[in-house]
Amino acid sequence: MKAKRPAVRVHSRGERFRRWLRRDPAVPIYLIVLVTLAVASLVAPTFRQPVNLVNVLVQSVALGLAGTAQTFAILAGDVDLTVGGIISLATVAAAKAMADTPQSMFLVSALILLGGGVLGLINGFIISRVKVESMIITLAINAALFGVALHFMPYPSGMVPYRFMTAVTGQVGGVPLPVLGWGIIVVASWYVLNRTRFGVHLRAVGADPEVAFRAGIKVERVKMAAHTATGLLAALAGLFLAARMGSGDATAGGTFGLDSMTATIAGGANFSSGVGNVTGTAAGAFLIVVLGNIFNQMGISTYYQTLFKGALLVMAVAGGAIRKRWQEKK
Amino acid sequence: MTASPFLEMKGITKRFPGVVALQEVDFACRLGSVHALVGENGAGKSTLIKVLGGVYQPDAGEIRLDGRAVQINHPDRAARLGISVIHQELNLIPAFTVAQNIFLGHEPRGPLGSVDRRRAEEEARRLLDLVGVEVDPDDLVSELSLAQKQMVEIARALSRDSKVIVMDEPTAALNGNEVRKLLELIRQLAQQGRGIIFISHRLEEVFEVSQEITVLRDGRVVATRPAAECSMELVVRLMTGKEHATFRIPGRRPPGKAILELRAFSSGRYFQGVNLCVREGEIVGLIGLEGQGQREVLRALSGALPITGGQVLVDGRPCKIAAPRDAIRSGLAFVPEERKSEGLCLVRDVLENIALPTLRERQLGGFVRRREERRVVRRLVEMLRIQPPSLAQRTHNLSGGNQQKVVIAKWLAARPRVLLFSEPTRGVDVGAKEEIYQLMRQVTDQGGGVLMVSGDLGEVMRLCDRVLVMFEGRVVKEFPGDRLERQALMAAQWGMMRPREEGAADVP
Repeated sequence: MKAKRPAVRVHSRGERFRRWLRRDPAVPIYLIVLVTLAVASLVAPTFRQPVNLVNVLVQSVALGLAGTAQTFAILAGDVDLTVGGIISLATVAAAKAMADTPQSMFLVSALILLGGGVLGLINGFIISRVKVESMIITLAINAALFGVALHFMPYPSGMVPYRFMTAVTGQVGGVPLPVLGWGIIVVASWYVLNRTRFGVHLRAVGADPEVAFRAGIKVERVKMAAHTATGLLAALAGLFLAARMGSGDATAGGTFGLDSMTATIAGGANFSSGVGNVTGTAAGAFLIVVLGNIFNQMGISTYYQTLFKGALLVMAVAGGAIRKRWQEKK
Repeated sequence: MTASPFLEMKGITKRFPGVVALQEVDFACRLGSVHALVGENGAGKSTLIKVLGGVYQPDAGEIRLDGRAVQINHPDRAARLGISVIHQELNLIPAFTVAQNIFLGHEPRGPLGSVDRRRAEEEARRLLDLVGVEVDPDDLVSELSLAQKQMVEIARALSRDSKVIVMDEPTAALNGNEVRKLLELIRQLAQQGRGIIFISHRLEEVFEVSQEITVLRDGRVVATRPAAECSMELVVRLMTGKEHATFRIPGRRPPGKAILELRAFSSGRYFQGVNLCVREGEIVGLIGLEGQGQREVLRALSGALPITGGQVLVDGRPCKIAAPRDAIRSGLAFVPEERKSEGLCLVRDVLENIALPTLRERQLGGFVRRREERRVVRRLVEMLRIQPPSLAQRTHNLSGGNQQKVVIAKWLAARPRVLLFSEPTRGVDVGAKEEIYQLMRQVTDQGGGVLMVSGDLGEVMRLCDRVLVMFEGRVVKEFPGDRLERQALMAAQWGMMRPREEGAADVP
């Protein structure tokens, strides 16, 4: 006799926790971040000072936003290297166009976000309709975007209105606004990617476009929407960066393309399985910045930091692949 | 019965590069009945279904639903028109839960664009109960067995509450009990007033549930008849276009010395302690239910799976096989069942595909001797009668049978001692099937050996000089070639499922 299943299987809290441990691909990065924080606090007393911790969090916001942007593209099965170019362009546009009036600040910010969205939409269109490899085409478009940014601003210059800077980088009840904003974006993105139909479709397209297509999902439309979100969030990262720097810089986005990818992959997202989430990416971004902070405090040159970031990406990609193989074997 | 059927497909034609897959096919399905679609592999069944499901666009013809002409330009359109399709290949996302997969593309809506997960879960549970599978809606699909995945697909097809449900080989991965349950479900669905289009290779099932049968052959409809007026022999004859060949294809030489010997051959959890021997002039069959390790034996021998124990001897010499190149060097050649992904480089032409494994033999200081290469390949193309006989044809454009011949040709060029075949004629049309059987015999008649895995018992009985049955990673039974009967082979595959009863039978 086969056992009769209860009408509704109730999961106990412990069972649910174990399942989360097993299923959430971001669990390793959470642990790594915790261990890193613990070790750093023990070794460097200056690190655990609240000022420094808040500072590290604020420093993480730009990469955190860029990583969130990248997560949309990667979960949809692509990669978007224009994140860096869009950030550069956004800082240039903000420094050049923004005047010191509330109207101008709103209008220019809105236009920059819109511009990022449109660039993302174009990426998505080319990738899904013309059907080209996302890595290659976004690498090319990124180069073009840098070119445009450099044309308008050959060297860092311009001024972002002081009021804009203080408004964006201020605090609310002791919490830095950028950190709060980042948190809101992460929560909203998590909701979109994990709870909405669009998010489910997006991850299905990333996992297997043919299966998604046969399930009646409009694969092209989903891809275009995913890349639009990426472009929009990248522009937001650029806008924030402009406010922090107080000026525009055509090379500001230089490292963000690869770094956002590192944050996303280290955060557990996977290129072709629809697995991953933005909280993992946030942890990944935070880890990169924290380690940079520690290196700075130890007086290690930025050259080695670049070397280290490259190594981190290699490890994250390899780790993801090994984990996948291990799960398949099981 | 109503005068005009609910679903009508008229004059459907679909061409692929180099092949006409469907030629003016007429097909209809009435509500409240089961219409079976049968035909040999490659007859066009799946293509027709993909046209109906909006996966392919037909080059000509029209589809009418309830009398209205409709354009099905996307799978979503098919779903909205009330057509659900279970495609032959699995269409699930492994990293998603069962419930997510069932409702993929039509998730129940909650507020703010969200998925109503509670409703999805409840609904999924109901559907899973209906198809009778013991899985939880919250399980990941990657954790399920093949049969469970198949059942989830069926639950998914039911989730749309469609008027017409198409099932392309839904029973392929199911066991006897599960098949019975599914057939019962199909009957119920028809009684509820749905039209079911049922595709199966197992004619027994077809006759059990369907009211009408349409036979496809080479992309054309050969006949559409009420099932009650058909006999199984008639259907087989219509499918194959000739009296069904059941005669054996014997070898011309008595088995000689052993060329391939496996001793306590093991690979992790896939199979353990396999002893077998293939002698000169012999075709040895390795059979079993799906997933009993028989395929993995071949994969391990080809160097694609790690060998964790035991010995492999070729011509009496022990061989170490850690990678495919070792297998090739030892004289073992593997013709995989996934010929498109594992056997061929589809975008390259016939010449390159055949020449690839033996490039080394025709090189001169690192350069390929093109003339020599063409000579060797042309000889093989002629010998195997590959159609069209052009070396420049991309293998992508060849029919299944000719693709298989290309795979065989590239290994014949390497002059292997033993050919390992996994499903030698899957997706191959009838004519080419016979040719491939003859080729396999030719290999053994010239003193080689063949070890084959096949789920097609008919082919096993016609070809094999000896048959070994595997169960749970072990060889459990051996049959000599002159004592092959379908019933006995089936029983041996299944028999081990009930060890207790067998044990009881031993007691006098």
